Amino acid sequence: MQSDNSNSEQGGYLSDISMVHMIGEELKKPLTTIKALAELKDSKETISLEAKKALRTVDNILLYKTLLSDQTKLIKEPVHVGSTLTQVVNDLAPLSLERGCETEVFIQSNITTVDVDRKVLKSGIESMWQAVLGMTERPSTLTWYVQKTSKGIQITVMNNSIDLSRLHINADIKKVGKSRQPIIGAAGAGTDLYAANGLFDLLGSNLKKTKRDGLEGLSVTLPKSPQLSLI
Amino acid sequence: MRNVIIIEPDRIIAKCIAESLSKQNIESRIASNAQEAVVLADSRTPDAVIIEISLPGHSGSEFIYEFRTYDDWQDVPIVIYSSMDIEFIKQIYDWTLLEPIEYLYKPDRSLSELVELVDEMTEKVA
Repeated sequence: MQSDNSNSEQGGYLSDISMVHMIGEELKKPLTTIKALAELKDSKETISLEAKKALRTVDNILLYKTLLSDQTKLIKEPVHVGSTLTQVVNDLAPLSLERGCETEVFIQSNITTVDVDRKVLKSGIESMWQAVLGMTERPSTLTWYVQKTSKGIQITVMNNSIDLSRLHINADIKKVGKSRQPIIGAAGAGTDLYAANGLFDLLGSNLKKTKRDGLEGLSVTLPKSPQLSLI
Repeated sequence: MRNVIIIEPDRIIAKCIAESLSKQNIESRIASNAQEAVVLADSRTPDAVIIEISLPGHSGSEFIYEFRTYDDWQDVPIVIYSSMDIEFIKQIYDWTLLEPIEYLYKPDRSLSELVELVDEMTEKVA
């Protein structure tokens, strides 16, 4: 067991009141959806998926805050990013589909493992997914890539309906801390974005905006493990 | 038939609102952001607009302000149906630009209350 809870100040630490405010405002969205669905008939499955989405948001932000306050240590082990992503895809694809988003996954062959906390990686990918899903505007496709780069293993999620031009991840998170306003460029997805940014920060990486072939999305590069760099 | 534009980024909520309006014989068109809504309004002037103030890209308040600058749309009733509390909206947005506008707080107000309000607002058209 290793402790490697890196400094998250660069990701923009939020005071408890700002955090409660942000989560509160954003949890109202799925709960309002559940309430609306409950007024209509034949929507049991969608209600369940919406509740699951809200619960994931809560679980992942709690995990991040617990790790940040050093109540739990990171457990590092060699993890296959591709198989972790596939696991998350299988779990969350029904929710995406309910919101009109198809999912595609492209995993480069011969991807090496990374030394990370498996649970934090899984939660980070989930939060990244939920953040992007929360910012998509219409039926579209979420495309995931796992690729090797010179710096490590890069996870990217792109979408063909998202507009991230108003989103400035670190600056926006800091702004929330000061003003308690929602993240304007990420209406409804700020908590997931904050959780994803924080969880990946604990793994020694940063969430970034990315563009490719006219599509926009988010990416994160997990550093190569020291042992593997020597091979 | 009366027609309403629903500006709502949450696809599921938008469909729920549309389904509820259709039961009252109110046709609806859904826009997930302000730009789409302007295009829809341009193609056919709506009898009313239902809007979530918290939108990706341009905010709901920016949309309302712009919408009101067009002569043809100045009298179109607008309902803010938002999960943001009115006091919070007033802190963030310039409310003087939004008044007089109907506001319903999503967590407290049901779809049927929203439909009832839209029904009343568009009664003359019906």
